[in-house]
Amino acid sequence: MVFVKYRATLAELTGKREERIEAQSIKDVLRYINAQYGKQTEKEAKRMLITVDSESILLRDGFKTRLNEDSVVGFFPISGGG
Amino acid sequence: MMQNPLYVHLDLGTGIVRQIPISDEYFKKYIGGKTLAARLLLDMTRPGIDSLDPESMIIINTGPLNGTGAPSSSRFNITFKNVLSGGIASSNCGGQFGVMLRRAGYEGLILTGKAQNPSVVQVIDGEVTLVDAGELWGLDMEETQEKLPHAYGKLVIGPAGENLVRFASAGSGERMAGRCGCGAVLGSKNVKAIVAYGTKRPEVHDPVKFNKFVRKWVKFIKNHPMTGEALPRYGSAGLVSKANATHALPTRNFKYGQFENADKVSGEMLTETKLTRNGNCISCPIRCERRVMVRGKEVKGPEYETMGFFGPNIDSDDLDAILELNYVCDTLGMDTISAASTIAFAMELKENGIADFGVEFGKTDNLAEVLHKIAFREGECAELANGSKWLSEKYGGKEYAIHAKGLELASYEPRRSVGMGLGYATANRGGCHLNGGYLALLESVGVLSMDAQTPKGKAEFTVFMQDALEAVSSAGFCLFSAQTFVTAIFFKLGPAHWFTRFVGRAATRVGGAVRLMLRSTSLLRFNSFYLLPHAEAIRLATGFKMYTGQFIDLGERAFNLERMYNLREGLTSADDTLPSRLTKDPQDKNRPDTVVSLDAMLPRYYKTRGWDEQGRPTAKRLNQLKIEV
Repeated sequence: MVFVKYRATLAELTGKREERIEAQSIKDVLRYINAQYGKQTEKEAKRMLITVDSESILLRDGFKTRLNEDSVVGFFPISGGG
Repeated sequence: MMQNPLYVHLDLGTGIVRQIPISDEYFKKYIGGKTLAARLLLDMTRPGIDSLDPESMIIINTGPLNGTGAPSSSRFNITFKNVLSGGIASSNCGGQFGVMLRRAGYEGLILTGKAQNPSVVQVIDGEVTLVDAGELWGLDMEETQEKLPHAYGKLVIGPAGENLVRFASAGSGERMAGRCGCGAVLGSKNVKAIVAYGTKRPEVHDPVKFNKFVRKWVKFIKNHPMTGEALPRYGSAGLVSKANATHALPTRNFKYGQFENADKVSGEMLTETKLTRNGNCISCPIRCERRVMVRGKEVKGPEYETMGFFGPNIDSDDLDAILELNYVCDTLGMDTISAASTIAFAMELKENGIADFGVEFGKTDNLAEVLHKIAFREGECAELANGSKWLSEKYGGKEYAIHAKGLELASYEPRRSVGMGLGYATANRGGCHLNGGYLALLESVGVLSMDAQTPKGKAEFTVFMQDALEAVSSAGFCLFSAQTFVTAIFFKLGPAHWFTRFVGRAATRVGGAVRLMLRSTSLLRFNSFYLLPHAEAIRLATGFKMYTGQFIDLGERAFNLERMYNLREGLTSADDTLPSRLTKDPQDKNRPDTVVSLDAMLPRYYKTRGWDEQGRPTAKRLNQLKIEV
């Protein structure tokens, strides 16, 4: 079971800040979100910064990033400033 | 045409006031803000004066867009000799002082000399006078402003400025001109406060077209995912999670790039648990300011830099402490970046058994007291008031004193954003992300993701971004207003979408094209509303020919003027460097590329700028930019 943390818009859309789900890749997590919370929520999730064990999936394999049993997946909003 | 700017010079020693009309040539070429101020500082000061010498000059000026109602255009600039680096400093601020200075009849105020007693400079409806500061001396920033008439635009210093703390700030309302020590320069001149008031409305060249343009621009800003959604919702503090995810969040004095408890000190946590409401600068539709409660009072909350530096960089996950320490710095009048970074350096000195200033990683309960001692230069903390470079020269630890040219780096770990590293090393005011071109936004914390480790293309993008940000700033705009240049489509697709990733990757391969564009600005005779609306706003406000090419030239002119000042004051290419922790010691021991490869980027950077191998602007380039030596 991987641990998923929802932040910002995704916490509002799912009504949860975290949950444990069965998934072997980020694609699986997105499929789960689609099935559980609808296509619009999945679309929003894809727009966010996604992390696995606190590291951006952009530094790994993107949506294809594989997950371990104890992986922590995070969804964070894109931000800016400086 | 907009009327030429009128500056006023006050010699604080003699009380002599003289008006300085800015010529057509200077107005068209240098516009205002930091660019015009850099020109005047070069023209009006002799080399080698210490920043805190009475003879030194401080220029507080505006840009042509200040007070016009254009979005995010209330920033005013302060230029002076950098107390930390000995080179040039420009620090800008979003308080209402700039707008009021213009309403009082002046686009710029120049101060030299030293007042005999602690004083307040008054600029009221065109008249400039020096009055006794009386009981104001000794008060903090907040108390000082409360004692001054409510309707005035105010620029004040706190105890840190009075005691010449080398990173003392000046504040207008709750907004700070934080960096480089302008508070100390004012303190050295016995100036506790400057107030401005007037009723003159800034006029623009073509009010009808200008107002129509402004309405369109405000709508664009409000609808853009960055300025209409992300910044209002999370402020700049929202960057903590992003920087952490890309190993770019300075942790334990830049030893690491990730913090285990980043979630507890993130912008999302700040918004969810501490935010009372948003605030904003005058005429800014972005409204990124965080309002939070500290000591039972609603105050301005921390920006990203402060979150990072009083959090992960001192190994703390105490969000309440960050809010408190941010407020303490703001009332004492100190730059949060330099104060917190100097403290982190002192923590590492202690950890290494070199010196003990009573500060330890992970311990925040005594830091408010430490900040007070720094501001008043008391006890064992007095030396911290000199900054990390000074400390490293006395005690050692130069390899991990995290500064460039004496100015402490901002909160982006450059070993995972090497273009940002090049920017820090070459920024004229020292370790500043904004003067450095802020490539971190394209490499590690934004929606696009250039390869953060490769030196390829970084020199060209750094030059372009540095110049663009200089130009935006010169007109009086907040740099956040420029973040719409990353088109909304990427936010809609998301950072992990193949197209967004493709564009990010491809960017490192188009350095040559960027360089060609920088050399062909005369061909860029158009304005793109969606990329840089600022140029069109300047054109409509001033009546000048101001197209994209001229706008980039303006920024390049600014950057070269600043460089010329630095060279005149004795800085050299040897100062375009970073501490060896960042250039020699890989952040990830298994990845040799996680260092800032300055040697690979600097020669190309100089070449792109049209400078010689020693980093000096060539006569040819200065001539092309129409800069008189």
